[in-house]
Amino acid sequence: MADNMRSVSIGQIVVSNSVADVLVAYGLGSCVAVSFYDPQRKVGGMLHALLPSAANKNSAPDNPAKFVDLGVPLLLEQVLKLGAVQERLVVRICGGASMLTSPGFKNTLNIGERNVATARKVLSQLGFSIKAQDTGGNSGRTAKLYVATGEMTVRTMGQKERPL
Amino acid sequence: MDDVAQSAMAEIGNISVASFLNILSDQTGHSIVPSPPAVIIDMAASILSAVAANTMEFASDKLIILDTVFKDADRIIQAKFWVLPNPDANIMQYFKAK
Amino acid sequence: MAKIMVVDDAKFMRVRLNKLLSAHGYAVVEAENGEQAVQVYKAERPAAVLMDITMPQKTGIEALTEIRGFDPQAKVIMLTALGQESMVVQAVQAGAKDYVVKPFDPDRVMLALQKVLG
Repeated sequence: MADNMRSVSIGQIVVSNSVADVLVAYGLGSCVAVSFYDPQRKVGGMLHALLPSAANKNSAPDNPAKFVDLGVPLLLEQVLKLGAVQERLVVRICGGASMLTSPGFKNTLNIGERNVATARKVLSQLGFSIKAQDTGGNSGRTAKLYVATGEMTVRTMGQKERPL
Repeated sequence: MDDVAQSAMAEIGNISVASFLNILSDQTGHSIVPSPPAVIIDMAASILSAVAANTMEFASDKLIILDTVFKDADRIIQAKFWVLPNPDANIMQYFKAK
Repeated sequence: MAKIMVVDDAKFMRVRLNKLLSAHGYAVVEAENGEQAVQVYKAERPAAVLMDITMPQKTGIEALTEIRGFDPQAKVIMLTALGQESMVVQAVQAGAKDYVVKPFDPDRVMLALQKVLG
C-alpha cells in the first residue's frame, strides 16, 4: 500500500480516515504543527499554523487556521466530524523553532516560542494532555503523521526521519 | 561550512542587498539602511515561513524575485534574491512584473 | 610600519583586508563591531582605520563619531556596501576622510590609505 503524501501547508488543516494517507507539514520553521489521532477509528488530522493569534481581534481573519488559537479548535472539530472520539485522541506538537538567530537580529517577536506556548494553552483548555512534542531549537522540521498507524515522525535537515 | 566561509556568504548577502537598496534609495529619494546579515542553512520552507511570520506581512501576496548571476574568471553562479516587501512601504510601484 | 585598524563584522572581510594590508607592509589590528572598534582604537591608537558601517552593537558611523570625539585627528576611511549619497554625506560630516564602496578594488583601498597617511 503506497504512502499517499498529503501536504499540510501554512494555514491549512488536513484530516483523514484513509490508511494510505500520510499528513506532512514540510519545513516548519517558527510555525507549529498540531496533530490529533484516534487509534481506534484510525482518524487523524494536522494543523499547520503560522502565528499564535490574530493581531486584530475585532475583524474575523480570512484564514483562522493560520493562527494557533483559532486553528486548534477547528482541527478538533474536523477530526470529530470524521468520526474520531475526543477522549481517545492522541495529541502531539512539532515546530516552533527560533530560526532567525544572528548577532544583528533582535528576535523580539519570538514567534516560535509563542506558537508552542499558545498551542499548549489551547490544548490544555480543551482538556487534552500532550503525548509528545518536538519543539524549539533553531532548526527547521518536517513532521509526518501516518494515518495507518498513528505514528508521528520528525525530520531535520541532514538527519534521518525519527519517531516523535 | 566553516565560519570564514559562512561570513563570506553573509558578506555576499550584505553587498547584494545593499546594491539593491542603493538603487531603491536613488529611486525613492530616501535613505534605506539594512540590518547586519544572517546566514541560515536549512530547509527553504522553514526559513521563508519564519521570515514571513516575523514580518507579519503574510497578507502581502506579492514578492520580488531577482534573478542574479555572479561571475568570476572561472565560474558562474546563479542565484535568486527574494524580496518580501511590507505592503505599507509601497515599493511595488518601482518594479515592473515580467 | 604603520598600524591600521580593520573594522568589519564579517570575519571573511577582516581576513581578506588583513592579508591585503600585511602584503603591503602594514601591521593590522581588528575589531568586529562599532563597540569593539572604539575599545581597540583607544588601546592601539592605529595610524588609520578602515571602517565598515553595517554592524551589530554599534554602527560604523556611531563608532566614527565616538572616536573623533576623543581623537579629533583620527583618520577613518569608510569601507562599506552602502553607496547611498545620504550615507556618504553623513560619514563625511562625522569626519570620515574617504568613503570606499564594496565590492572594492584593492588598489582603491591602498591608495586611500596612502593618501590619508600622507
